[in-house]
Amino acid sequence: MTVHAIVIDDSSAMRMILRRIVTKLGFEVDEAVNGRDALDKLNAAEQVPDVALIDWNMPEMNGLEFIQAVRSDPRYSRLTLLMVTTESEQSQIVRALAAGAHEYLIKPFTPDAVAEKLEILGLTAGV
Amino acid sequence: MTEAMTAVLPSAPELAEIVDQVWASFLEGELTAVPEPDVTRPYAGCLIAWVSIGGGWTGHLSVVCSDAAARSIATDMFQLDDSEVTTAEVADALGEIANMVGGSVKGMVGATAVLSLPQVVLDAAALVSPETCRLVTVQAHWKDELLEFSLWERQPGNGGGK
Amino acid sequence: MAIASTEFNYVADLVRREAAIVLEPGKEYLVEARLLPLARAAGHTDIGQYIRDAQQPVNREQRWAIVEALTTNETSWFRDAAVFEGFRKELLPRLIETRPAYQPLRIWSAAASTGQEAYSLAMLLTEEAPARKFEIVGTDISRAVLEQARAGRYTQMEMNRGLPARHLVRFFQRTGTAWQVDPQLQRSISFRELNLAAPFTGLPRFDVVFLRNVLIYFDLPTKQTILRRVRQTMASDGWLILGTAETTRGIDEEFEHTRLAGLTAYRASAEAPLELTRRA
Repeated sequence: MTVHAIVIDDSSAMRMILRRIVTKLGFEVDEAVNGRDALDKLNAAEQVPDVALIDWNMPEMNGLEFIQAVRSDPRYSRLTLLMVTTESEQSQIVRALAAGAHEYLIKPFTPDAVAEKLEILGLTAGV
Repeated sequence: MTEAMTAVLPSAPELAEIVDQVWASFLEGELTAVPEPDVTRPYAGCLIAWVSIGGGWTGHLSVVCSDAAARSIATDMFQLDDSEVTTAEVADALGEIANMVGGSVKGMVGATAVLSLPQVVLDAAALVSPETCRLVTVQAHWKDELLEFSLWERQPGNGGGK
Repeated sequence: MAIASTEFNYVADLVRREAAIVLEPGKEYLVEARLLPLARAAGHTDIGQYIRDAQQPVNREQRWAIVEALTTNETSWFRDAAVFEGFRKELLPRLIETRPAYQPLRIWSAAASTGQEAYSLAMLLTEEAPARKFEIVGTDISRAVLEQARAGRYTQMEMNRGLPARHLVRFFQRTGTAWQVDPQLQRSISFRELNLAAPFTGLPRFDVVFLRNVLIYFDLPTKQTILRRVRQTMASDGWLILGTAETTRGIDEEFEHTRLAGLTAYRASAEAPLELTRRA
């Protein structure tokens, strides 16, 4: 059974980097350019992804707003939320976790760091 | 004003460490820091990418390098051949470097700091940054290229204009 | 103090054999930077002398320290999650049940390196058993890594390695570009230098010993000596935990191998009780 991830970031460079790392881990990867785009994709999808890797600062709907929207929607209750961001203030991390992020990764990160965070979340493709 | 006074800004070694971490995460090859950076070196023929930091503290974080170095950054970051790299990808890659280094600097500055989108100029000789002064500069050798990272702070001008 | 090519080649061969790491010429500066603290800690001012010293057959721990210094970029927190999960679900309840409430749980992190294992255990215990006192001793042969462990200060990169975000916000404070362990957590941990291949002194009786991925660097007679000495520091119903690919079999037959959920652990003797009489 394939694990599905969606990478949500307004930077095409960061989407490319994360896509590569997560694909190598054996996941199927989809992309969105901001929170609004991601919600649209979730609504239209046949299958809810297993995990979303979410940037914080994005136009239209930022990562925190996306997390709040997802956590208040029972359709997406099994979507695991991993925030991936440059925001490193303690208070920001607390806000993200309180809003419903399951885990948090601070940029810059190595591929190993991503793999380990996904393991903490119990998500491995078994590759 | 209190926020600006308590902003913790990176020293040169700390900025070098931030750069080092970004390099170790996404790129290949070792960085060798230049002990006494030459801050007068001209930017002609170089690309510059920067992010601006606002909120409690106002300034820019810039990265300057040659076109060849920028292409190397893009090929490493996106794992492409040099022949496949477009100008847009070079700008994206350098902009992302500025974003990540700037993001780490912003993290030190404080909770109210906000980071702008990265901007990239393909010929830095034409760029002028009025009413800023250079706080910290790190220069490093990487793959026979010279990279420069600088932190600039807003200086209050007499007219107070941009 | 540039390193000679014979010494560089020796080190390159060593790390290639032990850790499959390739060090090409041009990386001398890396070897110098990483080995200088070790050389100083060993009382040498000359890295070359330190490396030549490490080549003597008896100086295994020195060779191990060299390999560690050149391969450790960042060590993970909660490395091998199944071990920590097993400790949490199976070992900890047994310890709590069998030890008087006033008695601190005593744990040894016997290859402490930069401290992540010891601090991970402390975080786990603080979260799972907040009312219990505990004492963790972290030992390592290398003074350099112990200094970092004692300082409890980690870079952003190190913080990204396997540390659950809830622990980051609870037990760490950002300082500059780095993160600092909460002094409160540090109070229950002590770090000290210890050479596993030499007699142990001044260690308390331990309830659990973590001896992970370090025995592999020793020959069989030394492994046997180490395990015998470790068993002597353990409570009779104490537990030993090795690296996931390691075993006491063929080395020390007195240890009783047990599997508890996903965790392989060794009891100091066959008489140690195994059953949990009640679950919390």
